[in-house]
Amino acid sequence: MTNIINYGISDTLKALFTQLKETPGLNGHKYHGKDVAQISQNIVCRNYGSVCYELSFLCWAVVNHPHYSSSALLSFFWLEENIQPKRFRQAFRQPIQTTSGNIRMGEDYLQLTIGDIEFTISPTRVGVLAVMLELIASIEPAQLSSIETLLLDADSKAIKQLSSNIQKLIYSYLKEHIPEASTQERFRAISEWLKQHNLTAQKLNDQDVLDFWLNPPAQPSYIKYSTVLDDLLDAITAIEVVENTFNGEYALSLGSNIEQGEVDADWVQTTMFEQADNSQDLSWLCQSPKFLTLAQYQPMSPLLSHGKLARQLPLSFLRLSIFGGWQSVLVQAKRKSTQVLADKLQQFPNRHYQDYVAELNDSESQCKQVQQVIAHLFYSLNNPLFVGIMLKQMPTNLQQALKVWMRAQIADPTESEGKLFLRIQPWLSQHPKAQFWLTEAANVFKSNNKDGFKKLPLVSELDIYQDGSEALDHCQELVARYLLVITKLNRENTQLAEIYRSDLCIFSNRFKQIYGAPHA
Amino acid sequence: MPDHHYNLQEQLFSVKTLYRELHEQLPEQQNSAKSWVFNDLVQLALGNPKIDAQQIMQHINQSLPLRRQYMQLLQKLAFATSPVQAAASSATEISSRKSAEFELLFKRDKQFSGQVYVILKIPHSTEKHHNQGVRVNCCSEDLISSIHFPPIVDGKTQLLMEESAQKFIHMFDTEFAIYLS
Repeated sequence: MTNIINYGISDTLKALFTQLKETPGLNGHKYHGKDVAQISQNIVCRNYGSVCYELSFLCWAVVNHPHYSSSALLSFFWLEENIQPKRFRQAFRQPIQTTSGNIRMGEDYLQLTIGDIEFTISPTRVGVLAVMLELIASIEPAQLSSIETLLLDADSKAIKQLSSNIQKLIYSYLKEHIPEASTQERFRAISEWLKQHNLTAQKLNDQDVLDFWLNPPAQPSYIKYSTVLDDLLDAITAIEVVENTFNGEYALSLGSNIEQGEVDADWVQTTMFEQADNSQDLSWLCQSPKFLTLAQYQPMSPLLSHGKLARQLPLSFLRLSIFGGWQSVLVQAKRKSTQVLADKLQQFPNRHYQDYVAELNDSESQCKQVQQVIAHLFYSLNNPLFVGIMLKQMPTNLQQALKVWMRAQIADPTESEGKLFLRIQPWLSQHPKAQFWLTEAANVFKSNNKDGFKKLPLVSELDIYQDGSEALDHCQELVARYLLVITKLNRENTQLAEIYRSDLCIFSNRFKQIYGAPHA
Repeated sequence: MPDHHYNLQEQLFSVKTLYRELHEQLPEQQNSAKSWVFNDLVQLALGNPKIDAQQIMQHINQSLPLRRQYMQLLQKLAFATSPVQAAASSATEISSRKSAEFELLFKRDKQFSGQVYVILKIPHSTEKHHNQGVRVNCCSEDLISSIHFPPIVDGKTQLLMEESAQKFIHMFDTEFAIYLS
C-alpha cells in the first residue's frame, strides 16, 4: 500500500532507492552512490527518456553478444557485473558481427552500427545505465526476458520500441509513487507567503524563517522546523534561479520553448543538479572508498544542500541542528507513548550551538586530512595530481614559490603525467616543508583503515579518488566559509550562548504547543 | 510574472524537494519494512551470505509473481536440484533426499528428543561452499523456505534443528523441490 503523509514520494519508492544503494555486489555495494543519485535525479525531474534510449542500445549489444547463449542480460549485468568501465571494456574487447549490425570497442566508446544507425556508449556511463536496468527489473522482473526476446537479432526499430516500452513502464510506476499535487500545494503556500511579506532571496533573514515556523500558512500543515527551512530555501532558490534565467542573457540561449511555457525536463535537471552550487548531495563520500564516516558527513549535509543561503542564514542552520534534532526525537517519542513524549519534552537538548560548531570544525579538519591521504595515493602512484592538493595545504609563501616554479617549468601542458611527476622531484627535494607534508601524508594513510584506504588502489581506480578530492575540497570550503560567519557572529564568545538561551525558550514553548504540555 | 515562470519555479522546487525526500534517512524510517531490488533475488539464489535472507524471503512469500521469478532464477542459477517427488504412498515425508550432486538426511539427537541433526553431503562441492556455506531453498507452489548451512568440511556440513520446525519439515517433504546454491 502506498503511503503518503504530507510527502510527495511514496515510502515504497524511497525504500527502493535505499536498497539500490545498499544491495551487495561482487565487492561491497553493487552500485556506486553517485550512479544511484544520478538516476534518482533523472527520475524526480522526469527526464529519463534519453537514459532509456541509451540503455536500449546497450541492451541490444549485450543480447546480441555471442558469448551469451541464453539469459544474456542476467549474465552480463548480474552474474558477471560488467558494470565498471574496465570490466565493460573487457567484455567487449573482441569486435562482434551480428546478423543485424556490428559492435566494436573503440578507444573511448563502444561503437554500435545497426543498419544505417550509429550509436556510441561510453564505458563510464555503464554504471548509471546498470542502475536504470536494475530499477526496471525491480519494478517488473519479467521485463528482462521480454527485452531479450525483443532485441535478439533485431534492428533499430526494436531498439526504439524498447525505449518507448520502458519509458511507459517508468511513467506509470511514477504516477503511482510520485503524485505531484503535494509539492505544488507547498510551493503555492510558500510563494504566497513570500509575496505577502515582500521577501526575496536577498532579503530573507533568520528571523523570517523562525517567523514562518511559528506562524505558518494554514495549508499545508507545516510542523517540522526542518521541513520549513528546506521548503522555504528551496522555494526561494527556485524563484531566484528562474528570475535570473529570464533577466540574464542566458534566456536568449534557451530558445523559445521555455519562453512559451514548455517545461524542458533536461533544463530542469541541469539547472537544479549540475549547475547549482546549492543542491549538492555528496553522501557517496561515505560509501566505498569511504572518504568520510556518516558522522563526519552529516553535519555538513544541510550546508551542502543550501549552499550560499546557509551563510546568509547562519542561525537557521544552528537551529536546524539542535532544535530540529530535538523535534525529531519528539516525533519518534510521540509514536511510542504519551509518557515517553512527555519525558522527552522536558529533557532539553544535550547539544548546544557550540557543539554543532565543534562538529563542523571536526568535519572540516577531517576533509583536509583525507585530502592529504589522497595526495599520498597520487604521489605513490607517480601521478602529478598530488601537487594540486598539496598546494592548498602549504603555507602561503611556499604556495607562491611552487606556483611560480611550476609556471616556469611546466610550460607544455601536453606533457605526459609521468614526465610531469619526474620534473617536480627536484623542487620537492629543495623544500623540506613539502617533504615533511608528504611524509605526514604517508603516515596518515597508514593509520587510515577505512574501506578504499587499506592499500594503494590501482592506477585505473584513481578517478574516483580524484572525484573524492574535489568533493572534499568543496565541503571544506563551504564549511570554512560558514564557520567564518559564525565566528563573526560570536565575536565576543558569548553571543551564541545568549541566542541559544533565547531560542531554547522559543522552541520549547512551541513544542509544548504542538506536542502538548505534559502537565497542562 | 508570466504563468510559465511560475510553472518553472514550481517545477524546480518540486524536483529539489522530491530529491531530498527520496534520499533522506529519517530515524523513524529505520523500523519500517525494507524493500528489495532484483539483484537481491539474484544474490539470494546464488547463495550470497551478505543478503538479509529472512527479510527478502518475507517479500517473496507475500507475492506470487515474485515467488515465480525467484523460482526461475533458482532454476537457472542453482548448483543442484531435487525436484518435487511423486509420492510412493499417501505419506509425503521421507527420511532423505538424494541427487547426483548431494544427499540430505537427518539423525535424531539421542539425548534431546525433538532435536535433529540435518546432514548435507556434497561430494564435489565448489570453493564457494567451503568459504561461504550452502543455501538450501525448499520450494512449493505456495511457499519457499530457505536455510543456510555452515561451510562444507570434508564433503559435508550439518545443522541442528528442532524436529517441529517448519523449515526442517519442508526439506523432507516430497511436495517441496530442493535447490542448492
